[in-house]
Amino acid sequence: MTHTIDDAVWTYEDFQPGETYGSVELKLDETRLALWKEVYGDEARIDQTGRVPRGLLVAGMMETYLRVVSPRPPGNIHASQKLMLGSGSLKVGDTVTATVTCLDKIRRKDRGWVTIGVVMNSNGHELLRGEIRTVWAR
Amino acid sequence: MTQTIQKTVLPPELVTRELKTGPVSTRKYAELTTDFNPIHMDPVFAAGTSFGQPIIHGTMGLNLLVDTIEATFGDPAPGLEIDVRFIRPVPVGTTIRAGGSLRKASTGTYDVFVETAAGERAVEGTLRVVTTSASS
Repeated sequence: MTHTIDDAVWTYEDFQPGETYGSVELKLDETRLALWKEVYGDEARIDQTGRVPRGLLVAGMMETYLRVVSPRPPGNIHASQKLMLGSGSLKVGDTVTATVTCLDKIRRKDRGWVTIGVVMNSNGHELLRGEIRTVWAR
Repeated sequence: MTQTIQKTVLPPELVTRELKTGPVSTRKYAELTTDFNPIHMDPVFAAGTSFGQPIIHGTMGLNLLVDTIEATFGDPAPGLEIDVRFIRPVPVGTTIRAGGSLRKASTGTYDVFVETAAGERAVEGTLRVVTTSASS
């Protein structure tokens, strides 16, 4: 079964491994950078060249997942996370495209485990490949 | 043709960084990720859950770890493979610390963690630093 109703809560049954659910464009702009600084401080990997912390990609990965797979049932548990970050730097103002896919789902001891993949690209380069493993509440 | 191998220096310990969490920084992190789950920000809601109080976003701690890794290896940043489990919720207001130790230099593998000031592990896992190579 595929999730088709926009305002319906995503359930375990909605996910199909291999299915892609949507993409989001994110601009790594000054607003995001300002929020980052308010959380982690000015010293957090920000320099005069305009290089932005790679953690902004991780935050953007979560934003993408939450925007595309929404609404989610209360009680989900974010159990584990994989991140594959490519080499190189990002600059303030860069735009990235993030795409959400179901990588896997499995039932174990009456609990449904869902693995969501998020891939982020910019100018043809893969910047981040993330896997969010969640115990799905419904 | 000569070949140049660019090897990333692998220190035995990652640079350690600390973060004092609180309601304001938790709200800012919620804005950054658009994750406004009340378990992170609403004390009344959180009191009715098994946690009993607001807890920080799991990736707020994970991103402190990402920052320690960047602080350790600098620019240009090497490729990274991070694999972690979220093993304990962290109440908002807790000071957390991220770090790691080199486990196997030949594979660039570190054991990494995020823990509270009391030493309770919140996040545990591995980091693999992917050494880049280039030819000329």
